[in-house]
Amino acid sequence: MGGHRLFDSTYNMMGKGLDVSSFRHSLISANVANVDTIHYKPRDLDFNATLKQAMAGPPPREVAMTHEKHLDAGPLPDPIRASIYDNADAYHLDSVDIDEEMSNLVENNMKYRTTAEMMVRKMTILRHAIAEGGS
Amino acid sequence: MNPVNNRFFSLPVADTGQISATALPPFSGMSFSERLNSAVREVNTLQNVSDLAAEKVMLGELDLHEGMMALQEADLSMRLLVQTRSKALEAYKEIMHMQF
Repeated sequence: MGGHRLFDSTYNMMGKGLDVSSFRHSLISANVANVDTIHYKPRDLDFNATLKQAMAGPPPREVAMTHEKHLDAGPLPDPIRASIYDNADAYHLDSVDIDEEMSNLVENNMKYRTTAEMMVRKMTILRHAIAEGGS
Repeated sequence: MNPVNNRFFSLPVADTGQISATALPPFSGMSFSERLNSAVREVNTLQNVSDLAAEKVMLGELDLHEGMMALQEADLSMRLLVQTRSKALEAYKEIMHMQF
């Protein structure tokens, strides 16, 4: 897809997908680690929505700096971090549901490995074409 | 023997009992370069399809095995194309070096 570049939009999307999976893994790990913590609210993110956000890039600045003395609007929010939400509201939980977390962990793990595998296969095709069938 | 995936090169794969010069269907008037051209286009399509499939697998819209099949098809067709190119080039060089 997408033009005549060596690393196309699919490759970029795979990279972002791995970013999101990796970050989601850290969220799930944190939830599991805090399974006995009182008043801890489990956190999670929606993979597809976050990936879409990450692909769209950071939102454009709304405030233009037209004068040298204007203050900077501050660093833009990381699109991955911006889409974290508390699981507690979604599941009406006040604490971590370990079964839920384990199931999420496995799902996320599989997604990560699948994406990595697809990336490797895609790059293998490219390498083969570059080497003119040499390797 | 069934025709192996016709989507690749749409080469006629004859039955094993039928292999002879007369049993093969004619190349329907296409020149070699035309056939090569359409093969390249077909391989390119397969690459694009595999990219799309990979994206859909990531979004959970397509099953994993379908994505892997698309990637494998893209890989195999690319390998076949590269080999065909090498062999054609080899044949050309061979002919160029012939002494008449």
